[in-house]
Amino acid sequence: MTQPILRAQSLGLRFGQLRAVHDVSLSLDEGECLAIVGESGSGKSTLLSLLAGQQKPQTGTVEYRDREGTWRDLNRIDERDRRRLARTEWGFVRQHAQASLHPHVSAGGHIGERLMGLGARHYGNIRTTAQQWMARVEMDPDRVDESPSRFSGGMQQRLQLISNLVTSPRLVLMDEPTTGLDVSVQAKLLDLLKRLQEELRLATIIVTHDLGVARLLADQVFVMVRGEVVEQGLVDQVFDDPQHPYTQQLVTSVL
Amino acid sequence: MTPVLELAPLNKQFTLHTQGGRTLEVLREVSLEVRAGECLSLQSPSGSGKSTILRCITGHYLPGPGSRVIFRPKPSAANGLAEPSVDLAQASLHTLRLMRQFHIAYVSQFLRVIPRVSTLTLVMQPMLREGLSTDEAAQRAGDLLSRLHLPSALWPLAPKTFSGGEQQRVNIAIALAACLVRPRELILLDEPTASLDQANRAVVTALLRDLRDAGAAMIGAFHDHDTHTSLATRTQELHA
Repeated sequence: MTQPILRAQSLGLRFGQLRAVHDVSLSLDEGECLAIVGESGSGKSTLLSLLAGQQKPQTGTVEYRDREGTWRDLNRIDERDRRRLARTEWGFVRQHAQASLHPHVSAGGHIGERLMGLGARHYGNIRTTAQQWMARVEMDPDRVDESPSRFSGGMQQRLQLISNLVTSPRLVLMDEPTTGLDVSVQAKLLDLLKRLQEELRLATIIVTHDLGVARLLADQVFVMVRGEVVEQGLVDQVFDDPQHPYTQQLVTSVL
Repeated sequence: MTPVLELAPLNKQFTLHTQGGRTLEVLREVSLEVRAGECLSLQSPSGSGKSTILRCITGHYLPGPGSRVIFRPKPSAANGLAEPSVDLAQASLHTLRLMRQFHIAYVSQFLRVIPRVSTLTLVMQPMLREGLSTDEAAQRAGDLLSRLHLPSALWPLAPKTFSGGEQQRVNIAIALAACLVRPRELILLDEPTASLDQANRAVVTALLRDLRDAGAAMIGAFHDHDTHTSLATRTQELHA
């Protein structure tokens, strides 16, 4: 029996006159994937940062159920606790892998960093774990000591992904993880993400403007327009029987 | 015996906002029921809403106002259901997902899967979700594909390049794989044999008949007469 892992109630945030996020509520189960779709500037990424507790909402609450089964109000816990959760239970994958990878740290170093943050000290073990993860996502384990700046875009994205997954997070938030990649590389990465979701029972929230990505990965989907969720539901229902004029326009625009 | 599924009734209309807000009324006050071990065949000219009925039951389409879609799954520890019946027209996302995951199988008209994944893996996945070991799932997925006359040379390949008839049989295998591990109370069939030749039609029909006789309730839209006569226990006419 699956249980909720994240829930939000009436989230809202304004930037001056602009309603960035207005009255959003959600409930996400263990192993479930939510896709947030909408055009640029509709508030998708802002909503994601509210859900991660990186920004504080002006109204509403976000609660996360931790490994021990305790519900934690992300805007009430202190910053140290929030960071510990971010390190041990969550992952965050950005659109631009380069922004989260340091050119002077080797691929293995990136993967090892989170493990060491959790107290791993044995260098040989860390290196072996790093190589096992590289092999798992079809990266050459012999390249463990290379700088990520020598990797292709798709490889960098995989590296970013596994540096997040190595500590077995329960919730992974992704902001346009496949945007800007070649179509063939994108397909491989999507296949990988889907497989990992199943194998690791990961709950994921993915921001994307690509409906194909949402259809492939998500269980539920939110459609955002100007800070509001105008339509939500099971992914095939929202895309096969869209109710809102904006969603209908979106779905019929797909080539 | 109480019906496994009752439409009491089902309405559905589509509003096309991109085409001037035109409204299509597809289903009006459609009522039907189906019991365990029965196969109800929907009969009507094409375009009159057979697929729409099936999709409203699974929640691919939102049932229209005034609809009641009463489903009676067997209570089990896995689903944690206390209620003897659920109105799928009103159910939460969580409940709908649960029903699709454990109680309702749906054979769609067309295959839609992740690119690049092998046929064998696609058929194994629902079995693994049922808790079979990898070896067991591989064995039983292989048995199922053999039974559907898909040569083992095709198993390691992704089905994208297969012929229409092969894709349809892969689609059936994926949709029914979980039922072979643990029976589903309701099986919905949308033209499951439309692109098959006679020999393969017979193979698919035999598989479906076994599931029906094991106690599943079925609702189907069947294009060809053979499938209809060998599977249906009852017919319902729909009016366009």
